[in-house]
Amino acid sequence: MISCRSLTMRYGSFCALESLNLDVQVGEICALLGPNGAGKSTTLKLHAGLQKPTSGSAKVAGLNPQNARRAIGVMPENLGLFDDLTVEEHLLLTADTYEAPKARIGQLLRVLSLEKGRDTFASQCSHGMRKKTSFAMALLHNPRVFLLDEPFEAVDPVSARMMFELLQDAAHNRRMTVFLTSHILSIVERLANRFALIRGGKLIHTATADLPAGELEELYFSVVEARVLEKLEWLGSAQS
Amino acid sequence: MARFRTVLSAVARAANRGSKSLRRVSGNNMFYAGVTLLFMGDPIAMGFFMVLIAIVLFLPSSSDPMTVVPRERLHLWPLTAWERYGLRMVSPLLNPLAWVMLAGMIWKRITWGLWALVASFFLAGFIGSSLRTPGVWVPPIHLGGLTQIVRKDLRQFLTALDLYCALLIAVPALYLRLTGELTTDARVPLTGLVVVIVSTMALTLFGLDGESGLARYRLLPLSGWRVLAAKGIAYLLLVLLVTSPLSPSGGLAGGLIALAVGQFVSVKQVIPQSRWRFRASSQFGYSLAQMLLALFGFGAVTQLGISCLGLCAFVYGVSLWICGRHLTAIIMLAQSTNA
Repeated sequence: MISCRSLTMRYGSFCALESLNLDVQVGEICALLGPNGAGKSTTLKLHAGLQKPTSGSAKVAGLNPQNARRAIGVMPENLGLFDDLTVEEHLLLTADTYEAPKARIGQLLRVLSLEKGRDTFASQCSHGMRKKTSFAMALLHNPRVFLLDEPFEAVDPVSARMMFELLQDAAHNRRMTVFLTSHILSIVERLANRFALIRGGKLIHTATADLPAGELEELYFSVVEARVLEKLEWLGSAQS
Repeated sequence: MARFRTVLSAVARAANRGSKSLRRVSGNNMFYAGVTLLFMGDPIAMGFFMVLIAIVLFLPSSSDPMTVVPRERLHLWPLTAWERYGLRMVSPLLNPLAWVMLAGMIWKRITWGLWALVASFFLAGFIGSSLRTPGVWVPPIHLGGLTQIVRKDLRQFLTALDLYCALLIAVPALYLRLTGELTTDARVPLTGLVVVIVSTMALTLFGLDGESGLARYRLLPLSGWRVLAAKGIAYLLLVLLVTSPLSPSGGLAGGLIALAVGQFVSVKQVIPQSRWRFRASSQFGYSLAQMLLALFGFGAVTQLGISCLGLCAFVYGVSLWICGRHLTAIIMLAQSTNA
């Protein structure tokens, strides 16, 4: 459903992504993990058609992302919200442009606990509310592929749980494909079927979900980046 | 005391940066038109322009310098109660207009009545800036798939000071029209003036969408011409509003041509804009061409008849088609290399 071949992205002399090869199958939840600046968001942007690769190809459902917009639901890094639209107006905009039933809007607002803030402008929403709005927009038109950039960060536990269950149900029971990035290893460990670990724009390891509980963190520290063990000796000493 | 000085200088620096955005009026068509009038030997008309700009700039310039500091940060700083009190007392003096107000008190040529009027304006701007700006209300409109985008664009245009400058002409004109004191001869140049005043808004159509909004445009299955048409509808609705007491057909013609040129520039380069400021473009050549062509279109309708409106609409339609394709290619197909 999602595939990239020799996917490379350069910003001037900086190489954000180097010859990435990856496939995500139908009904699979693949989590892209790595430190800040590893190239995770760039990978998602290239698959969402938000950027054009320097070389190589990114395909969604066998098509260029620009031609597969209706098949993709995206929650981009910057959330893609307009400051001058309310939460509900964002969903109405999505329903109008994708010709999706408007009856879904009320339901999404309820399940994501956005009902109280439905008339709040995006510029005045909390970060968590903005995230949930963007997530609801990605979901509303019932896409075949979800591309989600750090969906759980800054979201309250109840909503995060709901998003978790929605994604699990979408992938396991409805054969939808989920490609996401996250830094919350405890959540993605339970959610994803497969993990792709990247560092410095290169894919360095892939693992399937049959890891024992808690093992993902150990794998991450051993493969992606070692923990910094230096202690701040001045912490707790006389205040300055 | 050292903490107090550090915080005060940080506030001063941030307030100064904020006030710099007010100086962007120099990239506005109104400013160009004012300078042109000066060189044409019409200082009265130029003075009129400058007074208009000054009145509209007065409120945002009067803002409380402390608003540049996030409230949470202000509470977290390790300042004593006295230092906070001192900061509150001293910070208004960081606003240059406060000094102007103080100078006005001792300048004998200014009457107390006039000073009180200006001071109340200053106070309104000062207090108003501390309040959290709510989203701008727009009436319900139904335009099918474009409804929400038009609403958003209307809200964006409603935060442009250019529009309020135009209203400073439109509102008195409405009053004079109702009392029958506005002659046809006066209506034509005033309409031209209003068309020029709001034309910069058409040059900076994507200035308030930000990276986040542009990303959404790329994700939505919308063709470029529809995105531009939504902006065009919002713009023309406001042009009709401000020219309705004057010459709406002439205003519409000028607006259509201003858009035809403006959307070409907007698609070519996104110039970020600030809310509650004048719109500013950095393309003088296009600004000049836009003003001249818009006035030409407006003149054609007022002098030759309303049939010329069709020609203006045709020009706008051609521009919409070309710029729509351009937008689809450049923005939608994401050739941006922004990280």
